[in-house]
Amino acid sequence: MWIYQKNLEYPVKVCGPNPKLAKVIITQYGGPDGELSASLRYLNQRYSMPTDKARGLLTDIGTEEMGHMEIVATIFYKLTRGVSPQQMEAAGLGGHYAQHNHALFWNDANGVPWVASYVAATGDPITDLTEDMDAEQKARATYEHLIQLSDDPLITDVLRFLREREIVHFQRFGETLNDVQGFMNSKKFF
Amino acid sequence: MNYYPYPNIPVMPGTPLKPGSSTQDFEFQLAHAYVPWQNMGQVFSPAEALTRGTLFPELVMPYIG
Repeated sequence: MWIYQKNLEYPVKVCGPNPKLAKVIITQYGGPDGELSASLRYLNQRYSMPTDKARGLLTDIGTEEMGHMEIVATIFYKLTRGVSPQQMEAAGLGGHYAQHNHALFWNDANGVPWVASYVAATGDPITDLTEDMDAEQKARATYEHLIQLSDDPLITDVLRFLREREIVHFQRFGETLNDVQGFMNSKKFF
Repeated sequence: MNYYPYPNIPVMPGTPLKPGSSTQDFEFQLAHAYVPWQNMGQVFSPAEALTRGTLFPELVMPYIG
């Protein structure tokens, strides 16, 4: 059960239409290291975590990642708003326009659609938390690549916010891994 | 950038210890990953936290192209 707010976690402003930038940023919507993958991964793995704290953390971060998916969606929407089919085509979004017009879809920067195999759920809490830390690093690296590609300072500002959140999440997953490893060890001895 | 003294004990701060032991008894195990525990300290105002993407000054690690 969720309670939602009608505002974004971080406001999205754009300098103007920019379909070329939209084409690469879409990977954080539906690419392998994007926010859909992140939110579904955490919200699914939480059921097999051994402690309430670990379950709570995965719920919290999974929820925030849904909020990030909303931010990335808003970026794509704003960057393509009012852009003509010819301009979409010139920016490499001709295929996107043909299939989706100005709608969003979960695909990566090359148009490859999202698949569930981007995420794992082994049922082993150490393995899953390690995958989560790995996922945060991949998302951080991707945001850095997008910052390098961005020619819109207002979008770069949002990308920097999202990148910093990945660092905070990595710290929290790491602390949870410490905790769960301790918990698993204590079960061996008592 | 903060550096943590080695070893930063990877048990939760304030965890009760077994009788007669100290946190120094903790041993890192090979083939395990650990992240230093963050301790609660000074925090940003809500407005500054939103700008920086974190409430915690020690977690501010901006990307320098």
